[in-house]
Amino acid sequence: MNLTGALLSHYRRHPWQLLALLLILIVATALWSSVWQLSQQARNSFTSNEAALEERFTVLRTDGNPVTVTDFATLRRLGFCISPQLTVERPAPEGRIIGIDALALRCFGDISRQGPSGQSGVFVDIGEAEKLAGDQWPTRLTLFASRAYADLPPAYRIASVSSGVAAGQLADSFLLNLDALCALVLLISALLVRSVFLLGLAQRELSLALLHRFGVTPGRLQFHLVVELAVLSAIGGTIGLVLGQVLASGFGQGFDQALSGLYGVRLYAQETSWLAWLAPLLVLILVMIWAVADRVLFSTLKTNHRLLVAVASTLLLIGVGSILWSESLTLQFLAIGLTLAGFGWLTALMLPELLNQLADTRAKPLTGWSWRELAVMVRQLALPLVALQFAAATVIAIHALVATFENTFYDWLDQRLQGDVYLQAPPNLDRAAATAALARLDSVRASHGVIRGEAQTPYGTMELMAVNPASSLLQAWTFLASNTQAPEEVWRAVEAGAVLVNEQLARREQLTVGDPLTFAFDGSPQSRTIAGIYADYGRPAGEILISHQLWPPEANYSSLSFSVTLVSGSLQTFRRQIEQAWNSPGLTIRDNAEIRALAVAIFDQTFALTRALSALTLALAGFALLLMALTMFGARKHYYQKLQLWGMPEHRVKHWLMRHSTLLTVTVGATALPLGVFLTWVLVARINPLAFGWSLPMAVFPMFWLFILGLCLAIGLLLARLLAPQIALRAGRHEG
Amino acid sequence: MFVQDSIVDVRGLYKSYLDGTEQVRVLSDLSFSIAHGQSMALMGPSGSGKSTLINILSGIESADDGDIRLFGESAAKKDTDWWSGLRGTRIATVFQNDNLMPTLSLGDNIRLRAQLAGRTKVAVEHWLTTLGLATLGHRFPDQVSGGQRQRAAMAMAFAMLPGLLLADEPTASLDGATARQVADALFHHQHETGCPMLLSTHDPALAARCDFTLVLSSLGAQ
Repeated sequence: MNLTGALLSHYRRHPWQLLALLLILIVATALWSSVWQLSQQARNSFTSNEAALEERFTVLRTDGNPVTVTDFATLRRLGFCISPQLTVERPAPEGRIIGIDALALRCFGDISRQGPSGQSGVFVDIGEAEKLAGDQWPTRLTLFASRAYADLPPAYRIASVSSGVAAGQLADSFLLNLDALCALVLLISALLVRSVFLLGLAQRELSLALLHRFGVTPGRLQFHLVVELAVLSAIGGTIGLVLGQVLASGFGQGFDQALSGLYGVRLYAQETSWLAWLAPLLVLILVMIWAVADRVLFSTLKTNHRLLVAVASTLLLIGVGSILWSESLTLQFLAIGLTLAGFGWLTALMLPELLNQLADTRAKPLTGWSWRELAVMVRQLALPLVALQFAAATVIAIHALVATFENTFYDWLDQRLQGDVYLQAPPNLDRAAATAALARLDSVRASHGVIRGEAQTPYGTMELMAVNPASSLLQAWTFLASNTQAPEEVWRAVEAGAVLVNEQLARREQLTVGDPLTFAFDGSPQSRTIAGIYADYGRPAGEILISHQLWPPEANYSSLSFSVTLVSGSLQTFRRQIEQAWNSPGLTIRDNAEIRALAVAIFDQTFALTRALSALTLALAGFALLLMALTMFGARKHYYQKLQLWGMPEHRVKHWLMRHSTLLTVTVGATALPLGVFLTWVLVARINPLAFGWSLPMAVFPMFWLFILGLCLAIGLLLARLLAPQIALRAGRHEG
Repeated sequence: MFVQDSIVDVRGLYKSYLDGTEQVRVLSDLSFSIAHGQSMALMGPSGSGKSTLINILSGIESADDGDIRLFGESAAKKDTDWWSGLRGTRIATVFQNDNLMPTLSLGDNIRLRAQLAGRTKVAVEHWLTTLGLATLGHRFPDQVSGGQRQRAAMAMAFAMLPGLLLADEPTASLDGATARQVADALFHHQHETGCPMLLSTHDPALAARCDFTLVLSSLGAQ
């Protein structure tokens, strides 16, 4: 028997503890690595999809007119690094074509990272794009600058394409969310592994002291313990990684749909290299060693309760303060981490204190014992309890976010998808004639046209939309901000010349109702008052909405579409009639119900992943608590048996045990509620506006809180059920 | 034939254990009785069944065969609640160690034991003083010595005013002087109250202080 054999004999004597440690490592690694793999794949996909995340600059004319090839030539002759891009909008299935000038791009350096594009579409030479467009499809010329030139001629100015939130940032935010979830799972795993390993260490304290007395140096003992943990992490981690791969491919399909729906990015299946396996394994081993480093390497470290409370309170204060004051998304996530750490630590430190104080004020000694026993349990199970608290708070926050978004998003979708069908008009159609022809069809009950184009604003190029404010299909709109509660009054203001802006633009430029908005459209500068702000979920672009009367009949537009309510509901009749009236076969007509179903499906897939992962994290924390309590209770059962020895009937002792286990888990669930509500607020009021440009109303879901508390109660009851056999009063081996 | 007026009356008691695949008999045809005011020492080598007998008399274990009468009532076919009732109100047990709740002070341990025995008013200070622990009532078990813990355990047993005291090697883990103090307290209380006592010990001097001694061998009573 050598030293390693002597140390490992602990697991021969307590095989369940080894199994518990391995199970926690396997489940935690599987969960963490699956999210990590999805996140890595998504990150690679974004990169390979040329989602140039850098900020890009465009050149605009100061007179508000669109830039032309002549402008490009003028600026290039003056020595500015400018590159043209011609966007040709073709309807599905051909789609968008983007023409670029490879020669002009040379001065941009590494084009793969700094290229002017950042949009999805087919890239061709600019001459080829011009030929393909002909006179048939609308085109748009954009001039990209390699940097924000301050010395452009007075007729030109620089605008940032990605001012505020750009698609690249959206993708970043999405990935950041996944990374944050990864970090949370890793944190919870580290807490759980720490708790199981420290329990083993406490149980081996006598053996370690004996080995020390036998001449084994502390350094040698520490080395063996670190190697033991590394080997266990490697074994559990490898199995977990394989399971994680399975889990990731299971989630992959829905995730792929979510990514392509939200960002136009496909999740490319990639070969898993040995590095992709080794990296997470090394991270896991390091995190696990870090989790127990203080006890293994610095066992003489003394802790001062007051100092710990002060440190935990400071972490909490810094976390909450940073959440309130920071405007950076990364800092927000770091602040959430600090808040969680501070809150969890404080709970673990203060709860036993509180219970001991309750014991001091009790009337009966049995009640006093009960509170003190509970305090001991909280201290011994602090780590898995805090892990359960984090997991419960995350589930509460994610549920609130998803449920709020669900309600808001569906309402918004219904508001936008008024009418039975969506009709895309072909390019270069006479707008007035087409609208009149549509209105004359006997299969049409009501229609509502949307003209789209671009407006130059002091904040850059914005999408401009024009609608008929009197349309019955618009009257159900709700506004995030307006001077009146009645939507019809807002529309009357629009009819009278006011404009509406989307939430993204209002937030980014801090615009409010009543502010003037200046923009140039069709060569003429305009200054209009903002009558309302509307929600526009999912898109980062700024948008201005005006009355169709402000859009001159001869002015260009990039697209013209209609929402149509049919008389009979027969799509085929309508298609035949409108194709004949417009003399345009093969029109794009989409069923709004199908669009809604697709949007809902994309939404569901996006959040199914987050919901599933947070639920799995809760399950992991609950499972770990059960395992830990089962192991830990070996040292506590004696005191419950003593009560029986002193005459308390077994059923009453079991009742006390159940009271303790349920109080333990329900109290933790209760402390998770304020944390969960706070996390919800951070997500909707801080993270969302920073990440997506729009916010959600803050809503609370008390019924879901009850569900979480019920779940905690169930964990407590299960715990009591599993522990009860241990307290049966049976004599052990008899010496005398 | 049961002895009248005895508090403990055991007749033809058998008990064996399964050790692996082998059946090991520890008590064989054991009979004895203890009347009010009497004390009996239980001696024998390790494994002879001393603790087993104390466990059987307190209802923690059951005998394979034989009759037991406690306080004049047969223990045959009695359920766990009956045994719990006896342990709670009439039978006090003191073990070699681990007699106290570590999360309660010595005073609260005494109060708890009395509460479980249904004694609403308990003279905690009296029992602490009687056992020389007058100033230690607020201390927790890990803040006092082994001898003080054992005396506190006895204070708990005395405070419930038991009808029978079972002490399983109560002085085994103590040094000579402390062991004498604990034994003195035990016998003083027994003489004062007349509470019958069964005391298992390896110490012949302690056994000699009892009214009679039952010596168990690995094959049962001698």
